[in-house]
Amino acid sequence: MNPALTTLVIVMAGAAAATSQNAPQVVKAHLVLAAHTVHQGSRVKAAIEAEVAPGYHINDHHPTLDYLIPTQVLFEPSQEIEAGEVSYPKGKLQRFGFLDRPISVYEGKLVLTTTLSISKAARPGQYMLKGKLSYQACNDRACLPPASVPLSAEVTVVGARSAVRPANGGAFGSSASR
Amino acid sequence: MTKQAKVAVGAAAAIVLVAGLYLANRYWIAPVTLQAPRVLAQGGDHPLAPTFTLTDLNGNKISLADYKGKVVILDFWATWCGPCRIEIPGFVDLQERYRKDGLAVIGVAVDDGPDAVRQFYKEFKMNYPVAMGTDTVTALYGGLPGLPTTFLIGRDGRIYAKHSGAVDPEVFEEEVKELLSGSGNNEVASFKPVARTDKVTLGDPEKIAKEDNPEVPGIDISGLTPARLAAYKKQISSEKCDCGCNMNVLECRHEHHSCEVSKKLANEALKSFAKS
Repeated sequence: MNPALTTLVIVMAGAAAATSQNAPQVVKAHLVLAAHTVHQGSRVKAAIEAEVAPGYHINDHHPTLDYLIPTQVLFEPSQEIEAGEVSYPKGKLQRFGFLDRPISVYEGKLVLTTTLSISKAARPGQYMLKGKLSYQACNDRACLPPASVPLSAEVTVVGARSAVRPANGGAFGSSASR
Repeated sequence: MTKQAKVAVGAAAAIVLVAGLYLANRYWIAPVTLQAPRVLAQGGDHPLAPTFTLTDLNGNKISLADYKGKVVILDFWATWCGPCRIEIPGFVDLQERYRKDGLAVIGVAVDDGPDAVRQFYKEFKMNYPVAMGTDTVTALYGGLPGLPTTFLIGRDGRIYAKHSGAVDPEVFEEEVKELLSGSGNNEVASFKPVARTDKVTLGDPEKIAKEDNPEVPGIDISGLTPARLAAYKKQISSEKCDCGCNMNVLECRHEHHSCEVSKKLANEALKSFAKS
């Protein structure tokens, strides 16, 4: 196919997808691991890097008011990979015109972390870890319906003789895996 | 011209073309095809409010047709929505003061279940009917990208204003007073919204009716024979939904009616199914 025509098709497909949504998508998120490869029976850190669109906020994992829907991460059960408890950042107390008291919310960029435990029985190979980040977003005048962002990451299990290769150092610092 | 230059020119032309198509669709094609026929077919500047029947928290039927001759504030809201909650005392006050003049407030809650709504109803001493919303009703009113979304309907059954987001009670009061001055026989041509209003875009009742089915909610399955429908359901039961719900596409359609991901996957499957 002509390269220019290929570009046109790709751009048009993107435009169609962008206009098909009813409510705006105000949260982007992805799952990253601290290592490219992991050993059987080992543990590896994982992070969910999320970003809330300017002007919007999502609720703290521990909302200040009981009627607010909390932000939370859920992982699909897997025989090879078990996700530990997710660590959520502390929200920021903010005042909004629709409330007479400040509430704790997440705005802008946030990072949630967890530790993945790789089963001792996991054979060398590639496994897909899937989950979702659920949230409910508002701005200072209106709220969007509860929504979620799918999360996924490929986990490559290697044999004991293979070296483990750290990854995403920026998100995890030096203690990538244990 | 080099190959890279040709690609760059092609890409630039594609972006200009897509931007042009988007703008043409948004400001020219879509308004004409989606809104003008409904408005013009009924006459007047304001579209007729889609009729619906819902059951309120006390088990009573609420039919918009029964409110003909009244001014109606139709409020789509949810208990988890702070901007919605702050508006409710204002609606309670307006209902109290203008009931005798012909004002009726109707609340449509879009919570997942009625328990929290019932509790809120008592706590806020709501004095007007509240029903649990359905996908059909929200679709008839053009979908709800945000809450609260409030429609002001005149005595003649036409929509005069659509407010998205929290609005001061004084705004509603001024608009209600203006609409109460109408007779119901004629359009209130002089009506001017007090605050910014959104363009009213209504759903296509025929299309929505076709999509309103218990087999595959939100999907028009009217063209399938029972045998083909069974095969189609089997197919989308075997496809995993990518929205993060941990369900297959059919399960997600049943559990999360507003999920655009499962709706898209189910419609794509329907198209390929129809071709096979």
